[in-house]
Amino acid sequence: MNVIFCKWTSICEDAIDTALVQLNCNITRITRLLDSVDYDTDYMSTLSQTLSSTPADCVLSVNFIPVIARVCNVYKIPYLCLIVDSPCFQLYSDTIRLPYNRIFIFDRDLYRKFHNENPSCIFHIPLASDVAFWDSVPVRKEDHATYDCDISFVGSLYSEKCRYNQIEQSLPPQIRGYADGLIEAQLHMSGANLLRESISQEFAEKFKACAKWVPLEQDYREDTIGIVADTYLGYKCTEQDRIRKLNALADHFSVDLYTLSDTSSLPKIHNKGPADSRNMMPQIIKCSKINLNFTNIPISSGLPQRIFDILGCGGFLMTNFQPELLDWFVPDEDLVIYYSTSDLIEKTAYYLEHEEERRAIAQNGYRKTASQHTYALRLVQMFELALKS
Amino acid sequence: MNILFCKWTNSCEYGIEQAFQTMGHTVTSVTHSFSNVSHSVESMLVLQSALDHNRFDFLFSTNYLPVVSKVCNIYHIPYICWVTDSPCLTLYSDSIRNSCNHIFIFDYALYKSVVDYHPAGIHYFPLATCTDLWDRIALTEQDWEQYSCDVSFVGSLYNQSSPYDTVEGLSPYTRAYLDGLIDAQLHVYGCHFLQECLTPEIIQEFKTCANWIWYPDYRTEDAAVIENSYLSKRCAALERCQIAQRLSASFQFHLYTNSDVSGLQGVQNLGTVDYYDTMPRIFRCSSINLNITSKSIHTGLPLRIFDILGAGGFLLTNYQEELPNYFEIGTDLDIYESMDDLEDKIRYYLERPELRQEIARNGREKVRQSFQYTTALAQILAISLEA
Repeated sequence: MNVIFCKWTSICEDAIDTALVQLNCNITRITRLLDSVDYDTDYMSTLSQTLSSTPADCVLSVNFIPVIARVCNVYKIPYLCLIVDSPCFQLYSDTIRLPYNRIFIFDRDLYRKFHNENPSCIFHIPLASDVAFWDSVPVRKEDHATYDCDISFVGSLYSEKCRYNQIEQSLPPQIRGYADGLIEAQLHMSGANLLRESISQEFAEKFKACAKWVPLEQDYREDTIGIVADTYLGYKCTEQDRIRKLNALADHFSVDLYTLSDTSSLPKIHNKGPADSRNMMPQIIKCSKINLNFTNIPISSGLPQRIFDILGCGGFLMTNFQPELLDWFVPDEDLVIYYSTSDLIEKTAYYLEHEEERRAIAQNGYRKTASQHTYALRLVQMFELALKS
Repeated sequence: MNILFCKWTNSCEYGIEQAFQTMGHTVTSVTHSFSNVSHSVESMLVLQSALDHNRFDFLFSTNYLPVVSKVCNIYHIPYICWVTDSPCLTLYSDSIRNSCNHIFIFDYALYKSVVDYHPAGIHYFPLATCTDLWDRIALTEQDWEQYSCDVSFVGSLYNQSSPYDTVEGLSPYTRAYLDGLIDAQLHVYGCHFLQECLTPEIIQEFKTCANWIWYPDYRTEDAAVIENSYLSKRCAALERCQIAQRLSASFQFHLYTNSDVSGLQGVQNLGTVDYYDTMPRIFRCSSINLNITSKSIHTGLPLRIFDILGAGGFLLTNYQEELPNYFEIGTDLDIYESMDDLEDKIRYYLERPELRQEIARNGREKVRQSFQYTTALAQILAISLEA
């Protein structure tokens, strides 16, 4: 298999690269960064030149890049891309409809939203884990000294990513009140995204007028409700969810937090600073008794990369409920799900005390991930689906 | 036994009274505004007068009436009551602890919220219906002509004199915040979060503006009052009005209500109906009967469910947590889980009259077997009077 792999330093690229090598693909890597995902003509030239001079069965990228889709359409070569986050604004580009696209979306709700734009070219597939790499990371005595802990969370608090925080004070009270009400309601829900369903077009337009975001390019559909529900209210929800739950845990337990975010609202947490995802995170996971996952709210049904990272490292996973968890894993056998703050605290206390059960669950989760959810397996599935027609 | 039935014009009183009589009991009725605390003195005199002239084995009411409990406590007579609606604000009265009380509550969440105040005297007990009264209804040609339709709904739309709308002086932020909570709750079935989302500041502000009447011997439960007396009712109003409008646009929708529909596009009101004579005919002649449980009833099954099934109607209801405990979804009735789902299911069942009839038969049989007033009341009396 000849693959042109367009890399732009996204998460998952290292894992996919390793998998391509494992599968004995002939890989041509384009590492030129894009100035614009839509109209970067230099990038189009680079890619076109590569396609003219190199045999290729497909082009591959993480996330959907309209520029790549345009070129692949001209050269009539399948363009495989794996969507690894939600929301993914490039999916609103008109280019999503091009016939040579093979778009793989990790979140079923997101997949359902876009599938009809190009029914035979859009697929749902979960993410995966770079198990081989995680296995290769040793845990030395010094690592234990540095990273051993009862509970850890590696991730952003979303405060800095959350545009709602920047505009909150300037919103008129009617808008801010309504938004805060919806956010609070969503924080008390598990397993469903209320924000998208509750926001009316009318409210979204009023919010847009206050938020004044940079509009997308002309060949994009604008999903005002989606932008408000996901990037404004959704991210705010994620921030509050993580802060509240971490504070609640820190009231009872010792909690290590690895983040770049400002932790001033988390006085009892141990802020250990940022963690590199390839060089520190695996050790952290392997040295933590309990590894937390708080799924970003806009990811309404799918499994974020973090879940597969933790499981693939052999870590014990304590996660919020996501509908697609039940497609692949058995609760209390491969991982543990919490449904509320009090549930999280109760289960954390239980599993800190019951070491053998904890280890057994972590082992099961690891084995299942290693046998069914590696990137090599995932790529094989993608190639089959993408290239059979 | 001799029963003093304290009535306050709840529609199910007649059916329950009939059931007691069928069981062989003697029922004396006394009607008064028992739940009105400012009429307490008169209510007490009415009860005392009845008790001074007759011997009763127990007093009975639907919903909990503190004044009845207080009188029973003095006279050392058991007071048995069946709470049939939520909220039931009188349950906040300290008098629920009186040893004469045997309080049966149809909604499990409501039951859990009060049982600890009097564990021996408060019980969970789902509702039932007067199946023998429904069985006596013989349909005429005229009934079919008048009441046949695709979908019907009998009940209030809650859109008039909504307590939430009468609260003045809320800050724009707070009003919008509560509107946000209400709109969110509209989209969720089987999960209730309004109360938990109220901050202390908002509770204080709302309480000040709403200035609801409260009584010295009532427990303070501000958040619960705000949720159940104000927000949930508003949510229920929005929900019912939305459904009425949407269904009127796509189906032959019969609405029987005392509410004003002039503000609702395309919605026709066929007026109020007689509970025991007309209502069962409507249930039987409508292809599909809707139950839209008020959002203030968190887990329990409202009387309407049992009435529709008992009368032999095909029931399409919102999802309530306690449903699967007593009924098989898809066999005895069916549920909807969103507005879109409601329309889809209506279309589906309109195309399948035989399936509808089969489900209606199953539902009626289930209610006949397990949810008759006579059987239920016999159990209620046994639980109350054995101890």
